[in-house]
Amino acid sequence: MAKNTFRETAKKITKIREKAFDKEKIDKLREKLGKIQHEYDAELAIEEQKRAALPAEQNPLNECPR
Amino acid sequence: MSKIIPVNRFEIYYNNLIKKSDFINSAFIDSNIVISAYDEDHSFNPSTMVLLDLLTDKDFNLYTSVIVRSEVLNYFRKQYISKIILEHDILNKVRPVLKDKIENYMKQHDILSEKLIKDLMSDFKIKYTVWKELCKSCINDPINKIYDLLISNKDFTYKSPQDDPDLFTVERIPWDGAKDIIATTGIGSADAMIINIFNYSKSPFIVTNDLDIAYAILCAHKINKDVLTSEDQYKKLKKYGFPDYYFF
Repeated sequence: MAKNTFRETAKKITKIREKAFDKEKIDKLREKLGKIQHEYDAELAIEEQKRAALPAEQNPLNECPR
Repeated sequence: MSKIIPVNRFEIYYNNLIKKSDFINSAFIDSNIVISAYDEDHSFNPSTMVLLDLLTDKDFNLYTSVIVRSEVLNYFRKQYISKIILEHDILNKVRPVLKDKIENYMKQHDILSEKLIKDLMSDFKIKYTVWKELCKSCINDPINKIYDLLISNKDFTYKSPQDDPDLFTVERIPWDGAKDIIATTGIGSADAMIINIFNYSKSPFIVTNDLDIAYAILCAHKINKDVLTSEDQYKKLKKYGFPDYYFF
């Protein structure tokens, strides 16, 4: 006999979501991701500076398609 | 000929059904029913519960395909990614044109489209390690837990002819049936596969709130099985211009 347990399962799934997006957890993660992204932005800026310092003919951005 | 059954007329339909010699007390369930049953915030959740209560009251065995299980997981994956995007200021790190696109989309939808998720993943300003960290923290654990729930609970059973030959008319599902459904109705492959499996099931009807599924079943002339749906979806389908004899 089929039992109507869908509501219980749905409640469990809602709890799983709430736990995954718990505010404290989200705040910690945001901080961690901010650091990773900040480092990446710094890396990108350095690369950009290096590219800008290259003579125009060596800059890959200035390569013309044949 | 297939018919669309609204939930409020199911009792009459059921009374006719049980008189048939080949009647089996099993109902084939479409993915949107499983999804909207399990997502309490889904707009179809109340109407889905009415359908499921009705079927369980009559002791129907609710079964579906493993394809549906993967669609359920995919739905929650997209839901969590959408939530992550909004909770983590990710939008401030993507190209302004993509940010605008996503913000406009989310004004009308709760969940990002697959296309926008792909655009986000490939956006050059988001470092892949950020994405990996997001998945590790916000997707990995819940998806594993939901998968375990889907495997362990008995709300719906996920069957193939190999698992339970009594529920199907063939020993193996001929997949070219899905191709024929795509070709004749223009429906997407995932929906076509579900309709194809349903077509080879012994269940006389599929339970769905997806108008595309109902539309395709009415259009596919080789299918002679019915569609049980909510009253709202029944009314919407009536506006599609099908003749009245398709409507129970």
